[in-house]
Amino acid sequence: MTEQSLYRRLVRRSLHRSRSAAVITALVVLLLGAIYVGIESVLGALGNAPLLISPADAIAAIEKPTPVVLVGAAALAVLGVVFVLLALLPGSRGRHELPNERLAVVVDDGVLAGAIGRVAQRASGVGPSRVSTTVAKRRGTVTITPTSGLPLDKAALAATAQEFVHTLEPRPSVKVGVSVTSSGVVGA
Amino acid sequence: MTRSNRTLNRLLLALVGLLFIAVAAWVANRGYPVLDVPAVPVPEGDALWIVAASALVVVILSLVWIFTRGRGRASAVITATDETGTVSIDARVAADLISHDLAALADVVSVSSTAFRTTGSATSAIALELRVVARRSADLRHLVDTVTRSVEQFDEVIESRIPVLLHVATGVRASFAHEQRVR
Repeated sequence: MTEQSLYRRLVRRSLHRSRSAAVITALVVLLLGAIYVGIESVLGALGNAPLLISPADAIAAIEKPTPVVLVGAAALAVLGVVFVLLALLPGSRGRHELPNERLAVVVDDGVLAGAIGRVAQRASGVGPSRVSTTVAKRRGTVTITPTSGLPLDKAALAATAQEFVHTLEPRPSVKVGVSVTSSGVVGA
Repeated sequence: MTRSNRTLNRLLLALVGLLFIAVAAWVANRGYPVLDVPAVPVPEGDALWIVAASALVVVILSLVWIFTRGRGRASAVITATDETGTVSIDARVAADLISHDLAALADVVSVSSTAFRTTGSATSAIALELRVVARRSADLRHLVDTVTRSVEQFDEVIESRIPVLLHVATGVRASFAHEQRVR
């Protein structure tokens, strides 16, 4: 394996959540169920009294379910759907990859947002507390509260921020939009 | 970063989920019949032992799977052996060297590193994960460039090039920490 393909794999693993915790939870539930079924089966085979319910009674309860059994089945179904969704959904972690000669680089979306916000803030000339930035998978939004009476050039700010993003080249690529709040505030 | 096979994890998770849904559907079908499915035979004698044995197999396989997650961490980045002895460099040395270089940078909260073994025949069997926790106001470009330079220096120190994954994170600590506002 070359370093490049190793880096691709490391980045891919870093951008998506591991299912280890979910698998362990699922297996623990399965395990406890299997331990209980095993114990009752052995007790039944040896002709001893059951812990809670004998295998024959358990099957009778499933064949003619009472409301309690049905509620239990519904809970099991919900758990099953959650596991299947966790298995199928991409499980993105809110990170982007940055190209680099030497390293594999991933950054949290919060850091990327901060970097874009910083550029927009410098270009707009308002204080840092008046700029808030969010970054999602393919979209970044910079919200700026202008100083009253000093209109901001939205298009120019968006171009500046987008140009900065182009120099960073995050993957997946991010399209930046700038929104200027309609009411400004007085002061720096 | 661990060696756990992610595709197999997903597959197993989906299988367990589908199994749970199938059992629930079976019971629901008995409560509100839609399909005509045959009744489950009541197990007796040897059948009970077979059920118990299958349960044991499920228990053992589950335990094996659970305890093999998260493997692949290593403590040393590099280990060199010659006739005089063995030298190994701990992963924390890398973090210390790099955090020294990052000390001058504002908005870096902490640097940590872990070494892990990579699967397959990699260029190097050991890779390093560097986690730099930064405040949102950090100069990202400058930070990445600085880390790249210090990793290149680290390469010269250990006289080899190990794969490095840099993760620039915003930690909980970073979001509570004071932003440094220098204009």
